[in-house]
Order: sequence, then C-alpha cells, then structure tokens
Amino acid sequence: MLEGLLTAVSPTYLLVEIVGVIVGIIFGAIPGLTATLGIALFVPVTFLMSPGAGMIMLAGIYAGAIFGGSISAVLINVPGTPASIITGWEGYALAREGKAPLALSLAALSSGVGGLFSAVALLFLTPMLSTLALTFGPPEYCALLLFSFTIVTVMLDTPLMRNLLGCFIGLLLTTIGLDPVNGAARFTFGNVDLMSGFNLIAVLVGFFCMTEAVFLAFDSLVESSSDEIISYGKGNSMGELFATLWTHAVTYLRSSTIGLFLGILPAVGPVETPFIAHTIERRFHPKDEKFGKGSVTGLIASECSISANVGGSLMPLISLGIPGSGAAAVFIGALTLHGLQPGPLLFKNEPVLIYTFFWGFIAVNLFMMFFGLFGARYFALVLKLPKRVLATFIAVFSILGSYAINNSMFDVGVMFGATALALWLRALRVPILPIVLAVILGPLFEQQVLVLFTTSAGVGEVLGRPIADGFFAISIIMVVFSAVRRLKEGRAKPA
Amino acid sequence: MKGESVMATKFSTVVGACLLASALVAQSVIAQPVKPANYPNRPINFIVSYPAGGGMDITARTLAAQMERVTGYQFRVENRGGGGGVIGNTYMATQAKPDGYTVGILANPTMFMNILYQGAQFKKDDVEPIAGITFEPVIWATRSNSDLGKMDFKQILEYAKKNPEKLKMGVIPNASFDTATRIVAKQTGAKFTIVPFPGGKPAIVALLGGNIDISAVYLSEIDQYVKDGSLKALAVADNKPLAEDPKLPTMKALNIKMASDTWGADRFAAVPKGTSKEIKNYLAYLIEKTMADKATKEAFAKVKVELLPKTMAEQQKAYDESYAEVHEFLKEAGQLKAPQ
Amino acid sequence: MLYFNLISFLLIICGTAVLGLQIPDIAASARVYPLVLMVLVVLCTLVVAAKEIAGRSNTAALDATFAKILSAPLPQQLRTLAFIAIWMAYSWALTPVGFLVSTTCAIAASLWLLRVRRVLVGIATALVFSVVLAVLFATVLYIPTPLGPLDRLLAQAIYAFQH
Repeated sequence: MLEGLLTAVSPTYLLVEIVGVIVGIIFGAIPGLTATLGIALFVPVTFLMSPGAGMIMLAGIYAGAIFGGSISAVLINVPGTPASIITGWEGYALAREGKAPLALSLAALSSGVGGLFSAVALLFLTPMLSTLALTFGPPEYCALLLFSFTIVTVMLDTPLMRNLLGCFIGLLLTTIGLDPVNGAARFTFGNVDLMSGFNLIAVLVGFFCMTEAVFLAFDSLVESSSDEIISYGKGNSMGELFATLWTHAVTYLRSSTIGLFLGILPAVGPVETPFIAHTIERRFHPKDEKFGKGSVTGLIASECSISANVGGSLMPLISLGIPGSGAAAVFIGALTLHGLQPGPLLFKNEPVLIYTFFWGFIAVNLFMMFFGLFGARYFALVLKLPKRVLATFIAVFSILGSYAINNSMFDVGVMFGATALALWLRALRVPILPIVLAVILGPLFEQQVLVLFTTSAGVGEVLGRPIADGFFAISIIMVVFSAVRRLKEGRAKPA
Repeated sequence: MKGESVMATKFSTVVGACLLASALVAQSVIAQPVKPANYPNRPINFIVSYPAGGGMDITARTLAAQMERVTGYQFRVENRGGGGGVIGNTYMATQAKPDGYTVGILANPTMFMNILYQGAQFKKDDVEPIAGITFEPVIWATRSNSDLGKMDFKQILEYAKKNPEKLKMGVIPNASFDTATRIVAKQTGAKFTIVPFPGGKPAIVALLGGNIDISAVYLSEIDQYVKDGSLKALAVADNKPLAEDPKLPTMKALNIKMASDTWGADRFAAVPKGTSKEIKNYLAYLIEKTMADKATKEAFAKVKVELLPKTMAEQQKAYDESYAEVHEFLKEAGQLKAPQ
Repeated sequence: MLYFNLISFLLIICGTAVLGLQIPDIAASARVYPLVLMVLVVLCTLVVAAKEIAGRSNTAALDATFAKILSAPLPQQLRTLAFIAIWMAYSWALTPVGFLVSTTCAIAASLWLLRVRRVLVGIATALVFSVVLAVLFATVLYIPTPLGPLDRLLAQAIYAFQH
C-alpha cells in the first residue's frame, strides 16, 4: 500500500493527475460533451504512457468531467454533462440571487468531499463492498427502480397525474428499439436507425442544452435585457464555506453514502444518482421551501452523490471487472487495451498498480476540489460572454456532442426531437423530471422486470429477499404519506 | 554444328536455373500487389459496429495500432454502435464510400442475423470480406460451487431433460449464444428457461450472483473468473477443441450436430462493394502482412484475443458458408424474414 | 391555452394508438410491458384532460418563459425560429458539404442573426474555430466528422505534413 502512495505522488504521476483533471473539467464544462466521450477520446493518448499512469489520467478525466458539468450548469443553466442537471437547478437559482461564487465553490467542495469519501472507501473497502454488486438481483433492482420512480412522481410539488403522465410517456419512449426478449425490432416502423432506440445522451442534450440555447438566443434579441446572463457577485470566505461541512454534515455523509452505494451497483450511474439522492434528501428537510429552487442542502446532496458515484463505480470495475456505469465500461476497454484485465486476478497479480491507482484517485479528487475552489472566479469569466455568443456555441457543441457518441447524424436528429418534446411538454405544464428519470432508467427497468418474471418462482420468493422488501416498503410508505399530504392540501384550498 | 548444340544446352540450363530460383523466391514472400497510385493519402478508418470498450472495439483498436506499426500508414477506429450492431453494419453496406478509406471490422453471424432475422436493408454481398481476424466460439459456463458445477455438460443436459425449464440459462437474444443453445436443446431434448440479457457483462453478473444457473458466454469474457475458480467452463459450441482449453468437450464429442466455425464471433475485415480491385488487394495484403508479424500475435494475446488469420479467399469462403448455415437454421425455425 | 392543451392531449393519445397498431407484429412476451404502458399513458392523459376541462387543474395557466415568448414582438419570435432553423440546416448540411464549410457558415449565420455588432469579427471567429476544431479532430481527438471536399484536402495536407 505504501509503495502505491509513493508512486502516486511522484512527479510524472502528479502531472498526469493534474492534466487529467483539467482535461476532464474542460470536457465536462462544455455542454454536449460528456465524461464518457472524454475518456473514449483520450484512450489513444494514454498509450503514450505506462498503464498505471494511463489509468489515473482516465480516472482524472472521469472525475474532472463530472465536476466540470456543474460549472456550466451553475453559471449558464446548461448542464455540461447529464449528471449535472439537478446541480443546475439548485446552483443556477442560487446564481440568479447573486450567489454564484457560493454555488460554484460549494459544488467544488461537495464534489471533493463526495469524491474523497468514495476514494477512501475504494482504498480500504473494495474487497468487501464489491461483492455487494453481485447480491443485487432482479428483485432488488426492480424494487430500487420502483422506489426511484415513486419518489420522483410522488414527492414533486407538481400535480400527481402530470408527474405520472410524464413518467409513463418516458417509459413508453424507451420501448422503441429492439425488444429485450428476442432482439427483434419493436416500434421501429422499418427504420434501421430506430433499432437502437433513442440515444440517452442525445435526448438529455436535447432536453437541457439545446433548449437553453434557444432561450438564450431569444433573450439576446430582447433589447431590454442585459447582455450578460447573471452578474457574478461577491466571493465567499473560505471559512463560511467550510462551515457548511459542520452545519450540513449529515447531508454530506448521507449523499456520499447513497452515491457510493449506487455507484457500486452495475447499471446505475452518475446520471440517475443525483435524482435519487436529491429527492431522498428532500424527505429529510420537508420545511426547506427552496429545495429544487436554490437550496444549499439540495446542491450539496446532488454534487456529493455524483462524485461519490464515480469512485463507487470504479469499485466493482477493479475487483470484479464489472462496470458500474457507462463511462466505467469504456474504462474497462481502456484497461484491456493496456493489457490489464480488470477482475479478481488483477488485484492478486498487480497489487502495487492497484494501490497506486487508488492513491492516484485520492489525489485526483484533491486536485479537482482545489481547482474548483480556486478557479471559480476564472470559470466565471464565461459569464462575460454575450448571450448571443453563448447561444451559438452551445448549439454547436450540442450538435457535435450528440454526433460524436456514435458518429451518427440520426442522434443529432434525436437531439432536436428531444428539444421539441421538451418545449412541448413544458408548454403543457408536464414536469420534465419524471420523464428524464424514466428515459434514463427505462431500459434497465424493463430488462429487470423481464428477468424477474422469467426466473422467479412466485411472489413469495421475491418477498423473501430483505433488500427488495425494504425498498418496496419505503415506496409504499411514501405513497401513503404523499396521498395524505395532498388530501390535506386539497382540503385547505378554497373549493 | 557441335558448338551450337553445346551453346543451346548451356543456355537452357541457365534459363532453367533462373526459373527455379525465381519460383523458390516467390514462395517465401507474400506476393506484394501493385500499390495503388496516391493511396493512402490520409488516415484509413476502421468502422466498428459496437461502442467503445467492448470486445470488437478492442480487436479493431489493436489491429489498427499494429497496422500503423507494420505499414507506417495511419489507421483510426470509428465507433458506430447501436441496435446490436445493425446500425454500423447497415452503414458499411449502404452508406460507406468504396474509396478504400473505410474498412469495416465486422462480426458474423450477427451481421447475417441482421439481414435474415431482423430484416435489415442490405444484402450479404454489399460488403466484401478481405481478411479474417479471429473466430471465438460460444461456450457454456456455470458457477463452480453450485450443484451444476459438480456435473459435466452431458449430465447437465440430462438433468435439464428430466427437469424441464428448471435450469435458468442466460443468453443474448438473437445472437450466437441464443442459437447455439437452441440447437443443443433441440437435439438433446433438454429444456432450459431462457433468460435474455442485453450483453455479456450483465449475464456474467447474474451468473456470479446466483440469479441464473448457467450461461452462454465467450471464454475471453470469463477468463479471469475461470482462473480464480469462481466459474467453470462446460463445453464449446464448435467441433474442434478450443486452444485455450483443449479439455472442453466439443459438440462432436457430445454427438451434437452443429456446424463448425459458425456460432460464435467471426471477426473479419471487409470493404464496401464497389471498392476497386487494386485497393482491395492492397488492403488485404497489408492486413495479412500485419497479422503474420510475430509482435502482432503477442499484442493480440495481451488483450486476450487469439489471432486466427484468414486470407481474403478463405474468409470469403467462410462468409458464404456461414450465410448458408444461418439461412438454413432460421428457415427450419420458421423465423426467416424475407430479405428486402 | 386550454385548446392547445386539449389538442396536445389528443395528439398524445393518437401517437400512443399508432404505436398500439404495431403490437400484433411483436412477439407475445415482448408485448406486455409496452401495452401496459400505453394503457397507463392514455388513462393519465384522459384524467389530466378531464381535470382541465372541469377547471379543477391546479397548475398555473402558462409557464413564465413561454409567456415571455408569446408576448414578444413578431420579429423577435421569427428570429428565434430562424435560430433553430439554422442549426437544423447545419445538421443536414454536414454530411454533403463537410465539416469545415458548414460549421463556419452556421456559426457566422447564427451570430449575424442574433445581431452581433461586429460582423467581420464574427465571421473570422467562425472560421478560426472551425479550422482549430477540424485540426484537433484529425490529430488528437479522432472524431470522424463527415468529410466534404475541403475537409479531405485538409486531411491530406495534415497527413502529408506528418510524413
């Protein structure tokens, strides 16, 4: 273990860590470009260096990109990566109140805390916790996903029926493509491109990046509004910032744990994690009226969980060779190309390499937090750009980013379609959060339901599994609570 | 008169010797075709129908890197994933320009399944194979410390016959895993509950976690788990023994009738129809030269791919035979979709 | 607003029905999940529509941003639509025309449309940006953008430079 530490702080490695984080932050901050894309594009670059250094650089890009997305989310309300959607809501609202420096620095701090939390867990608890990845079977996944859908549809302030409508529309859209039972085309109307369904990243870029570009373009044409999006405001003292560690300690801890746990689970990645963590956190702060509209607690919960997820997803990757997220899957490919097969043998055969990686990951998170905290005012220079320029370049990157996922123009078309859908549903007053979660988790949900029905002997077997029971129970409790709350509100309103 | 005949004999001897010598020389070197003029003058793209990080992608990237090393030209990998490969395959067959700068790294019988089962809008002759890279057959595996782990494949098949639908078999639908399993099941009377998964990794996770009993996979995907003892390989869906594990029972040894070299991943390089013969031959030569190089074999072994090169003619033969097999199988199963 | 909503709900139901027509073509076991969802979508749409008609819908009539857009002067609305059109045209033009030309034109057009004050600077920025990205894609980042004639020349130039 010690050898790993010494290697991780050697000059070459430090350089690689810094470069990786910076590249990651840039990729993440540019809307339309994602962490997965960044990792995939830099894999050839890592061939110029040793496998250990290459791994750390890619991890740096991963962690940096996840944080970088929050920068544009907070400053211009365009999530740089899909993971930063929730951070954007909270952070941008805070920025509009003139608290942009606080929001950015808090994002950096929470990212750092969450990331370090998972990095330390990675260092000490990997063998133990990675088996958790295997205990989750179809009943547990179904229960977890049902729980996620429930909290999102039931806990939002918008009317229940509209939430449900959004959720169901989203789920229905994910059924277009190949059916999971036979691999035959379903709802594709003979169109080959539809056989892969609607690419998730293209849809999310369309929902959040392109729509914002359109609104920015509109705003820039209004003579009266100022050219700048928001004014930056005064900075915060470090003391104030770190004080939140104490006042919001429980939030930090809770969100980091949730993020870590969800990261370990294969197929649940950094995109859906903040939704779940954020909504769970809301449950513990019912009186916080600003939740979702500029709440410090919400921001912390979101950012912490995403960064903890990054480290968490590396856990089953290193020890079992199972990717905990989409970006992690590319990571595995990169490792294989370097001749390192992630899995149980890697730990045994190359312990020094692994520990170097773990220490490198801790360093990466420290650098990320450092750059975030001290670079905030430089990031804010982006705000000086006139809206018309921002609108133009967000549009360019949205298109190029959607194209680059699979080198397909069809995905760009999907992006525009998603933009249209988002605008239409917004006009209909159907909230976007349930749709987003449904689109993200839909395929996984159908797959797990299918396997559940094919393999389980009956309801008894499903109920016999404690974790699944727990999630089912919490879901039912939440539905009951929410029903009571809505009835009360309904009675309180004048008829 | 005598002088002339002596001269003639000497002359014919010399000519004969020259002919012999040139014949010997020609045999020891891969005949280099004429390099087409002004080609290549920019990087050549390998199209992969699967996203970055997967098995196909790794094969393509390794080949690209080796070809850069051996030939000095530039090769890039372009991922066009989606629809289980159908998007990239359709692109190669219908949209890719036949100018020699677009080479597909494709996999059969998945591509044939695209045409014959999913009704994709291209025909088998829209791409022309130029070299074979590797072939990896499907194998079946189970957890070592389970009831099934104590049995061998024959015993498992008997168990499945006596206890229909009790054993949960993980496959990827519409792929070799699925078909090979169905062929075995049909011929032996064994009945499994088929559990579909979108990819190799989810099936392996389910197997390791105990949610399914047995799964069809590639050996390269579970290599680590076999080595550390958690999974056990049971049989191989081919008629000749697997190089990495010659003890695995083959279909022939189990008396199951299955075509050779078909149900697995036949990874090959191909160009769109209409590419000039000159460029085709030159590309085939470059690939062959790269794959014959010793360091290339080592590079592929490092990423756990066994290089089994085929020449253009050999690959074309395998291509046509495989098509006939898939066509036959789907026809018997009544699932043949009329090719558009 | 009410009419817009009701027509939209009708469209949702029609869209779902169109998908529903495809159900018989799908294998039995793959049918259940989408069918259930379709029924749920239709039910929810009907309930929401009913609530709106009965006037018991408890959402604000119009989203704030849309209110701003709808009450803006016509030229501004048209320019916003033109903005969207430019970028859609860009996507269509990428494949035949190639990366360099279409990106330069699209960025320049967009900046001009949004009334950038110094037009020449805008065009220059567009050009520089496109070239830098194209070179980056060809040398470090390997994103295979569609190649038009000009792009192919650039690729050949870079290749010749590297050899």
